[in-house]
Amino acid sequence: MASSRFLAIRNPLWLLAASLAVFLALDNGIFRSGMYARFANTETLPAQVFNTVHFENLRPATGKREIFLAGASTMHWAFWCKQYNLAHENTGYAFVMGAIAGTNEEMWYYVLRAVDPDRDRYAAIVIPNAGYIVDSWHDDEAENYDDAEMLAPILSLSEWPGVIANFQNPDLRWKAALLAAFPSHGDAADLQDLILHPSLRAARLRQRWAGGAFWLYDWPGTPGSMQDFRAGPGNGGVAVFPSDLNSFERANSIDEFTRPSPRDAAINTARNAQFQAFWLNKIIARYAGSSTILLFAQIPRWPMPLPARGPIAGAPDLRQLLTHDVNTVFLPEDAFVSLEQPKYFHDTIHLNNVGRAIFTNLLGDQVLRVLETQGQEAQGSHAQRKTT
Amino acid sequence: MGFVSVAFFLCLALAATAFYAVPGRWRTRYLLALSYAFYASWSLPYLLLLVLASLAAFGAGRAIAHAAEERSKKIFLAGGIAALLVLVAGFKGGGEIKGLLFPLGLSYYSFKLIAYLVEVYWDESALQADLAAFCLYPAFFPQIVSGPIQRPQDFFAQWRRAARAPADFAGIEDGFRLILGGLMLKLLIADRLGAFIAVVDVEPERFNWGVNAACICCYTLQLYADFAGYTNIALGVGKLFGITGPPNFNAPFAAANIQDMWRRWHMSLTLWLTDYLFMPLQMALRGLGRAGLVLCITINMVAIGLWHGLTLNFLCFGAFHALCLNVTALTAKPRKFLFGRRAVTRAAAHLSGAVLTFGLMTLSMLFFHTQTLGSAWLHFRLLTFLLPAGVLGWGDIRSDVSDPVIACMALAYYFSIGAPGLRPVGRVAGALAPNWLQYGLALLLISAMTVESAGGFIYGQF
Repeated sequence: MASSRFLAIRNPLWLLAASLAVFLALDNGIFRSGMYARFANTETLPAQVFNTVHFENLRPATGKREIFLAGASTMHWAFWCKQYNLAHENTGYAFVMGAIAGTNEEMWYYVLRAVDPDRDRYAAIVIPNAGYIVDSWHDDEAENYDDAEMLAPILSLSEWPGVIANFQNPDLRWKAALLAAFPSHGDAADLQDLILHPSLRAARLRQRWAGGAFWLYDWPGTPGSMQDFRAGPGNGGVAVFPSDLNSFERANSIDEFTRPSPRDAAINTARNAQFQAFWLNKIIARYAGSSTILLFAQIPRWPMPLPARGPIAGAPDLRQLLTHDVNTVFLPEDAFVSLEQPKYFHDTIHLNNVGRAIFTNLLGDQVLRVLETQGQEAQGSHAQRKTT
Repeated sequence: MGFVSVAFFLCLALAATAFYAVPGRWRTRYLLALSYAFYASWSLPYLLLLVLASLAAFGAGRAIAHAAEERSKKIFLAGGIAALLVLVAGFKGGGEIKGLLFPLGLSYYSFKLIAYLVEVYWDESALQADLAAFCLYPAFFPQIVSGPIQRPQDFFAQWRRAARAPADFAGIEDGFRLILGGLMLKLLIADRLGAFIAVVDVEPERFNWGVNAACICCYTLQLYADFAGYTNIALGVGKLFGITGPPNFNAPFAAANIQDMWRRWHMSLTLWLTDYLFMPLQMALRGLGRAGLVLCITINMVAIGLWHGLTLNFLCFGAFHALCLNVTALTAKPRKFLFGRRAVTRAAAHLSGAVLTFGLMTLSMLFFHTQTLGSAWLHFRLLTFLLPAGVLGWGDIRSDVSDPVIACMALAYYFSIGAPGLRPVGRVAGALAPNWLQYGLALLLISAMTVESAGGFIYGQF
């Protein structure tokens, strides 16, 4: 490839410096600024994180005291903001959905930083967990590079050191550091999809821009239940799947019925407890002294006891690992246990639309009760201070 | 430290800058130390092997040059070659049995050292007196992983200039371009094809004929893109230090027949074998006429096959190509008679020959790509409908893996036939955008489009 003489640089060091400068300027201008994320596939997890934050920041205020729902897909599938808000219009409160599939406590921390920079936007933040007693699991949640990729579109440069330091594996730290330095490095599959299917991408984007954050408010949930589900030999203990589970959901179900080795379970439980406590305590510390109430809730965990997540001896209780501040509230652990039945679940972790309707009312009412009680206590202490 | 890592390129930028700051008399030692450090980052014990092999070859070269009698020269030459071949064969054959790792670049630096011994035997003036410069020849880090196999006179002649000369700006910029082009071939094309192959290879019998046929074509195209990509990077890195290595590819699938293709594919190895094996053999067997030619071709091609590894699969790979080359050589006259008289028939023959050549190379890849003859036979049966194909199709493969396959195959093929029409486009681009803008955009493309690499370079294992 011949180069033009006009403006060409011949000295190799200057040429290298100028080429790197062009690369870094474009890399940051397109990928770190969030510009590319606006055109990212709506279905990828990094795009979902970006879009949730983006649309939450664009959303006009409801005029009511807002309650933000953090969490992963288990919360996203479980609570229907639109239904509850319409049915309880006169309470003075409105729920907003901020739960994003595939996320964890670390990502909730950064999402909250992005949507609530001044810590004064929400009356309460509901933070779900899949069991106060930290359950065993196949994976080490803390050592997942996907977390860094998902967070990349919303992280500022100053936030990256915290994300990198969270990895214990030096290879993952290095990969995360590269992603921090070169933000374009995390979007190869998405960019490839954009190049190969531009018209499909354009159609999806038009739909998204026209519908706004419809998936956060209007999504009606999923039918189908786990009543046909039968445990048995083969398939990791699964004999019959409900007919409407796709292959991905079936594979997940098999995972849930495969008991990890006691050694892995012990290591991963300890690591996951440490990971969850670390990031949840960072959220608690962030909101310390603010007027936002942090509500922790053990949401419906499973349609039936799952071997993969059976408690292990000495598993820590998350409540004991977290800082108890004046604005932290732990909902009772048995608050939603009645929903842990096959007829309320779509698969092994997500509620179906029947379970969702019940859970929405149960959680919504409990949260409002807590907020009213806290409000009365605050008024009481205010009156007491005045009298004194 | 691999060639396709940010860490490598950071170190490279520092090392190349320092190279031109080092006084001329120290450059050889500096680059030798750098090459040994690069090798040591892979394996310290095998660095010792490299040093010992280099010292032994240096000594053998001196013994050959200074021997008074022809017989002594021959003994030193044969001894040196035999020792190096035993070393390669020992690790290729015995290493696997004993679970030893194959020393990085052994096949390449051994062939370089053999070339040196033969050259000294043929012409004593080829003797290299400077030990550091000599040791740099096999250890030169841009070429040690997978070649190209540069000839000693060519290397030493260039090094004499490079060791004293100031930085050649144009040569270094050529190096940048080669490195960027190589990275694109490897990371944007070869690795995408590799990801598709990795999915199908787990259970090929579960996929339908179309997927299997595409996968087998991908073997050839991935190998080309991966090896040509590596070669470009190696040549580019060499140029940063003032050394221009020999090319390995020259539009191999534009060749009209398989004989022509082997003049354009892995050229540094095939030319090495032509000069040091085929030609001497042909001279020795010239009395046998056509039978001698057939024997020479067969030995040469089997040697190429076994150079990759002492396995039945590579033996079959070499034997298959020997058969194809012999048929091509023996039918040269009738083909010329049939197709060579009119321009139209010549063009048609060239086109059909190029397609046939690609097909034959792809067929031979069944041996090259698979680990066992059983596995090669399975792929062959799936391809020829001898075994019923499975039901899984393109839609059953993750879309980010299956979607780019056709485009990457087309791109790899386009480059393998010499990228016709690219130069004018390059000239226009060059006129529109200054060099630093082009390279900045290329870096962005590489950074944004690189998928998780399936691993190192395919030829790194040989």
